[in-house]
Amino acid sequence: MTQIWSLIRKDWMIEWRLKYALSGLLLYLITLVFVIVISFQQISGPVWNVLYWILFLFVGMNAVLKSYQQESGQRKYYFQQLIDPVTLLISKTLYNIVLLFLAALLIYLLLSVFIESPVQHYALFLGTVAAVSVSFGICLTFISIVANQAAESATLAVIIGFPVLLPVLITGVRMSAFTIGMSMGGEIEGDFTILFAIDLLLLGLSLWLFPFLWKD
Amino acid sequence: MRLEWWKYLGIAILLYTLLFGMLVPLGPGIVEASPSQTNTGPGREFEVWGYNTRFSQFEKLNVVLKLDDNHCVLAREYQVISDYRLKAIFDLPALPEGARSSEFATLIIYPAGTGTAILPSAVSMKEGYGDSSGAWVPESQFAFDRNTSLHFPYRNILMESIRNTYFHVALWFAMMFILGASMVYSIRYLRSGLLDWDLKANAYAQVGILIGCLGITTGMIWAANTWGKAWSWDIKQTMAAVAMLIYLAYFVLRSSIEDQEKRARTGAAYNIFAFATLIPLLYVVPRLVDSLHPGSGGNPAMGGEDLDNTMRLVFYPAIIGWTLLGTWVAQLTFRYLKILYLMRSRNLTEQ
Repeated sequence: MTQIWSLIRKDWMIEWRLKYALSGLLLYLITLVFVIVISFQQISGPVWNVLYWILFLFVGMNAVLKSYQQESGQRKYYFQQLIDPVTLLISKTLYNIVLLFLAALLIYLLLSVFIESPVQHYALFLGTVAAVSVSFGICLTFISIVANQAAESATLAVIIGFPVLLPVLITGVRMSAFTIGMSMGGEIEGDFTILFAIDLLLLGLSLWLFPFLWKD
Repeated sequence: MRLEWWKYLGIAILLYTLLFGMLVPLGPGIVEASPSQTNTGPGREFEVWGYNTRFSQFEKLNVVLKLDDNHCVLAREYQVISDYRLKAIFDLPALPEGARSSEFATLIIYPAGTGTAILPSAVSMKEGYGDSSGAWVPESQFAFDRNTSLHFPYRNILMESIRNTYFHVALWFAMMFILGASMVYSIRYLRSGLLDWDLKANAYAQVGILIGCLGITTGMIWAANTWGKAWSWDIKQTMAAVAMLIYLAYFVLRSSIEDQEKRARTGAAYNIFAFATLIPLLYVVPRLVDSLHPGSGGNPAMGGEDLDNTMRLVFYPAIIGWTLLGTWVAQLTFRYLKILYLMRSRNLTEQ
């Protein structure tokens, strides 16, 4: 537990000291929001919903896919001596989940500065964002690890990441459609259950598979 | 000499599927009844077009309109124009109490050929004016015989294309089995570290994707004939395309890693992960969204009325047949991959 905590702290310290990563993310986000606001002028509820998740997808991928890169090379051998792979994976996943959640909130705040947000049920919306962040965090962390095995990892991560994320993204779009007052048929509880089941499945698998990818 | 009986079995089953699936005729059906809207009252005339029907062969036809099990009405008189066409005159009694302002009635003709011809929601009935001498009778008064000979069910819109069930649907099932086998080989590779298992996983994934493409193609042909468009971004179509993308990414991943051992390990891990995401993709998400496919959006599911016992006789063997054929092709692919691997490693040692 202390190991996990100190790993997360280490990740944050590196991120904070190398300001370019965070500020790059922020700049990317602001640019995207600007482009959207300027080119759309008026955004209806359903369009807002889809745009929000597309923004989240791109920003999330940008934020997370590089996360494992620093763990390659020399530092990897150092970690292999020191810690259990499961500990490393859990700390990475937790860190990425929190990062994604904060990014999602930031996107929402930025969007609502410029455009009136159509969200009606704030608690549900927050829950949706949190649930999707968890799924994205688990998925993207594993994908970035897999992609890092190859030479062209950045391109590869995007190629193999998109299709895997799609079911989660579609569920997310459905769920937030509820929160802006559009009915998609069915109950939102069912979607939460599905996301939770997908999370459990993927988390279990990545915990089981990571040790195989970890050793060289 | 290893026993290769299952290969012959697979081929025999597929031949049986082709022969039986293509040659067994459709049962009699009703293409259209006109007019499709009417008011209750005496002397309502309908013209009926049949498919695979033999109206003129029978002395007495029962032409029945049915609201529900307790409310049926027999035609007062009918006139057979040809084997495929007849006119019937009904004295429609007033709608039963508690009925909505308009009710859909099913048109049933028995005997119509090799069984009973049925057209669900054939006529929408509204309360009309004028007294009628007709009266509702329960369905139990008629002895509808549903299966008198070997035939596939007639379904409007689907018609003869119902035979595609043995190809499109069966191929999709076979793909899941083959991809499942690929995942099992990946697990075995991770457990043992023997490269053969990884080559097998790769071979099975390749064949699985080939079968998946065939399944999508047959589905698109079917959709072009029944839904009007080959690709209509139906949720299951979209998800199937995404599933193909996931496995294409698997091949891209494999080809981008040089080291044999590392490629095998990473590929195996991704393969297991990919198969796990395939399950929500193909079986959970489509159930949430409206779809043109059977089983969602109010359409009947497989195993409902669309798959009767005669079709089961072909459908289940077809799944086994396609799976066996896929396994055979996958074995050949595996041997090819293994020869490639051996040749490459020999070249390396010679240099």
